[in-house]
Amino acid sequence: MSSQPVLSLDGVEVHFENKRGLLDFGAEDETVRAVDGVTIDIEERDVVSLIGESGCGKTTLGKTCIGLQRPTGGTVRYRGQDMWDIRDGKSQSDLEWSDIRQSLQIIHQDPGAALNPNRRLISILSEPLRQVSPHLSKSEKRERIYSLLEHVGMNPAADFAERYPHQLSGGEQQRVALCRALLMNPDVILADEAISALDVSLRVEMMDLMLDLQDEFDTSYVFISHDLSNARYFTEHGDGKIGVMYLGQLVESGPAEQLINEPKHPYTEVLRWATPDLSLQQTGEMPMRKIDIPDPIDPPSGCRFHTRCPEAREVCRQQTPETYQVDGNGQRAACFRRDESHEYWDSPELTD
Amino acid sequence: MEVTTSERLRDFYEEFIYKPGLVAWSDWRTRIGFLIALVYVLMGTVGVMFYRLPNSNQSPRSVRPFQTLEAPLGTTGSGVDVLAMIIHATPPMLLMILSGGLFATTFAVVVGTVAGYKGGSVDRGLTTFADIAMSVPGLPLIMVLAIVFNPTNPALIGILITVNYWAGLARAIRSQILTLREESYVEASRTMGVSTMRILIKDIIPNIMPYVLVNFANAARYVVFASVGLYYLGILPTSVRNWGIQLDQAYRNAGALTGAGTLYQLVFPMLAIMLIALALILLAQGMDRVFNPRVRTRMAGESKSADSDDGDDVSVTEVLN
Amino acid sequence: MAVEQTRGVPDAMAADDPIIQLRNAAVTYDHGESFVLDHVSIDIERNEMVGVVGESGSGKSMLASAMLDAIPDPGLLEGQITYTPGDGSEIDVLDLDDEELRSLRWEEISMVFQGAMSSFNPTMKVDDHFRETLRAHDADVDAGLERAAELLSDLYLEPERVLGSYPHELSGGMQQRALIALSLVLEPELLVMDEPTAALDLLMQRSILLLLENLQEKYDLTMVFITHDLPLVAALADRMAIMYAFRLAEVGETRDVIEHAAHPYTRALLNSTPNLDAPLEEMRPIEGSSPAPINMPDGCAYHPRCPLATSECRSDAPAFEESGPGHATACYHIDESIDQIPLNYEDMLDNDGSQSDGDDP
Repeated sequence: MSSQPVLSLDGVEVHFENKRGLLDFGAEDETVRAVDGVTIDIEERDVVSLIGESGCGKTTLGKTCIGLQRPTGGTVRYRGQDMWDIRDGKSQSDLEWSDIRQSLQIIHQDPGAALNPNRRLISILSEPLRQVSPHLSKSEKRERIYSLLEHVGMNPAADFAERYPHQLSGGEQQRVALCRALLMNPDVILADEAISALDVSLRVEMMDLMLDLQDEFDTSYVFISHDLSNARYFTEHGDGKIGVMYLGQLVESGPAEQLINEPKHPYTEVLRWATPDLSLQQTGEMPMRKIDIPDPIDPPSGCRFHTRCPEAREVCRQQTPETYQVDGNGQRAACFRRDESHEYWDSPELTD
Repeated sequence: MEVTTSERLRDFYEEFIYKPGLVAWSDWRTRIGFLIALVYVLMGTVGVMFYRLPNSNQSPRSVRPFQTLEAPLGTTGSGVDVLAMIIHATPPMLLMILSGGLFATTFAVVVGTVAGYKGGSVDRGLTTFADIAMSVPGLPLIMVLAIVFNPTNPALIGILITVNYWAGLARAIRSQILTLREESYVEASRTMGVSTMRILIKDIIPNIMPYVLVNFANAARYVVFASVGLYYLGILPTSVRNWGIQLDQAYRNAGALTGAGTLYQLVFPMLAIMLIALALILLAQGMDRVFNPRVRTRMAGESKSADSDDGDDVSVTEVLN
Repeated sequence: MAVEQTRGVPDAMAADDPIIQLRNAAVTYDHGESFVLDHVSIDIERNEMVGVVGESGSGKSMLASAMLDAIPDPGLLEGQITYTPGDGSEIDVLDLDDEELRSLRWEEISMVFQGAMSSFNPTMKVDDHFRETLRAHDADVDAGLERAAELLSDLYLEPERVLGSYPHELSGGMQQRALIALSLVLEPELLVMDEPTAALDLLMQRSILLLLENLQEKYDLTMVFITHDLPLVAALADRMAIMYAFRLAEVGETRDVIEHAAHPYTRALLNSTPNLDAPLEEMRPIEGSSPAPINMPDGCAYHPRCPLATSECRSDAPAFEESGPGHATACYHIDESIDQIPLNYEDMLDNDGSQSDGDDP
């Protein structure tokens, strides 16, 4: 097993331009900085969860990881090679874009929309095999599909394979989407809120299934979720790490249990407060100074969280924190509070 | 396990003929539309073989309809059998309708789909092309082309008539494609590296088929009415038989609208025109159910899932949450 | 198959000062062959917050709609629904004519639906929505708009900015809050909310719950909060009602239901919900799926999935038994349920110093 990460993102930026129309005199072009300087690695058989509020850029970052979104800055490397150079034909490597494309797959949030309503399952699931194993005969393909369907609990496979998506329940549809991704034999699967649309009691089942199949298919997951509990379950069982995103930046990352039990960034603490649990402790006051997220077109200066952070001080408005190592386990946080000698400690608190 | 050829043939029959047929037949609209169309097809194939060609003085002149078996729908002032004219105009009409409808629809689908899916300069180029075609006034264009080329082949005439009709449809299809392109399952296919052609054929086009079918019927109807009008105006060569010519003759020669008692010479070709248009509408409306997988499976008794619901009635599970 | 579940209402469900009482409320779409709300009886106490928890297909939305007699056509609502405004009178909701029903809705009982986006007219500004509602109920528009401004600022929104905006100019969280303000502008007594935070972010969800708590105190409201997310409502609700397959499974005070859940379904549901306190190894999904209304099993609706099912369960639906003070459960095997289905977060509860009832290992 090589120790080289499968995917390596370095200072990745994804900026979207909202061009002003003809009649918007004097207005500037608006840039949405969906992802603004993220560096992260995804190893073999890894589980990386990205959590954050909507608009924080986690979906955009996820799609950038698997090559569905082209970054406007920074590099994305697949096994050490810049994937977009390969795409543009500028690279010397013998890796082809089609190989990379096939090894990075996706599972969508809405299983009902992720399957072509006009195709039977057997046809939907033959498509990936057609791409990666075109030499297989129709009956060989059928066998593989049946065996995978049975593996994920859809028995009898022959019966399910003849069905259309609308004849399946939501949980079954999502399992089919998972099968489709796995049949590509990918290196990385992006699960974009893949369990959010399922009933609560089905979520654990789906996550278990994904992790079971991880070993067999030798694949990594990038798991996007707005729900900390789900991300915790998935990441900890998969022995991976959680990345917390805020307004396009990675503010903290680390192993799941550690990050949740000992958060080192105020935003992670706020997320933890917001996650419902059964301890019935008093909710108390809102820790954030403001409820609403700032406009991503004009993010706050310095540390982006300073407008809402309960621990914010004057210096947080002026300087942007770098990412500090918290300990040897790979937990990192972008907060001045991690630096005992920083001028943060002398700076006046923000109280608005 | 092996899939034998006979099994494959049977699968094909079931999938593309039997089940769609079941669904189509179940709807009264398709049934009636199909039957009417069948009458026309029979007229145009069997009828022309057995019924006499229209000719002057083949029967007594100006016979009223339903009088004799020889000329069941009456005759014109020159003794031409009205029914013979209708029957023998049917093959060229059908050919014209089919060719015009198919051309307009296919061309529109190709242009609209490629433009919508590809985007960028390809889109801009194709859309500009369609816009130009749309903005050139149709009637003068057809008139000019008809005079210059003087087409006598009904298939060519059909294409000529729809020479810029396809453009509006192409734009409409392009809009549909723009939406479909963003669907998750299309993104999934792209992520798998499926070729654009295959995505278009397998994922995109089947999901616009209901829309395409309805528009095929519309295009066909347009050909019917446009050709009738053009023949009536004398722009298209009268060497090709057409119900429009019949209308023209009834109006001009027999004075059908002046109360000279020759109204029947106008009414019957008009009925021929109306009924084929009606058949096309009914067929299109009925056929779009065929492309709805929920209806298809329900008809064929396949739906087993506990929460299956068809798109037509409000089922209980749809009302919850 | 319908079932008369309550022969008399057990104490747990009878309220001292009820604001609304349901007796055998049932909704059918096929003239009684199947029910999407299967003879539910429950009292809502004045000024309390009740959380109604159930998965999709459990009938919880039907329960909400029933309280306003707002079941979509062609459903039929039967049973008895009594609303007590607090001035001594009692109103039979199903007996009202259209005019009276209109004034009941929004002025007395108000509802917030799931998905704020579709509740707003995209071509009207937010203040016009308020004006329209006020006029429709013949209320004083100026006073109403003042109230609206106050409600909006209670919900941490800037009144002038929000009132002057079109719905699409606001974020999802802001729209939902504006909708809550709209539902309260006529000063109702009872607010029914159906998954009001479903499409929203974690932080926004929690914040809105806090705001609802504040609103409840400030305006003396009674609230019914319907959701599939048990932990979410648990922090706020005084009492919880768990629904399964169109029937009530368990009702009780929140702490009781969390710590001493008696119905096997409730216990399984609590175990299958990932939460931050439960040890990871012990989360279990629930086998099987909930029945469709047409396919309701005889007896207890949960028996096909229940590890404790006996022949009794398979033939007769259980009546409500008291499993504690103010805590009622529709199950024949309450004690075995507590013994044999351990809750995976029980250790955490003991650590919190809460009461152990001696059944825990």
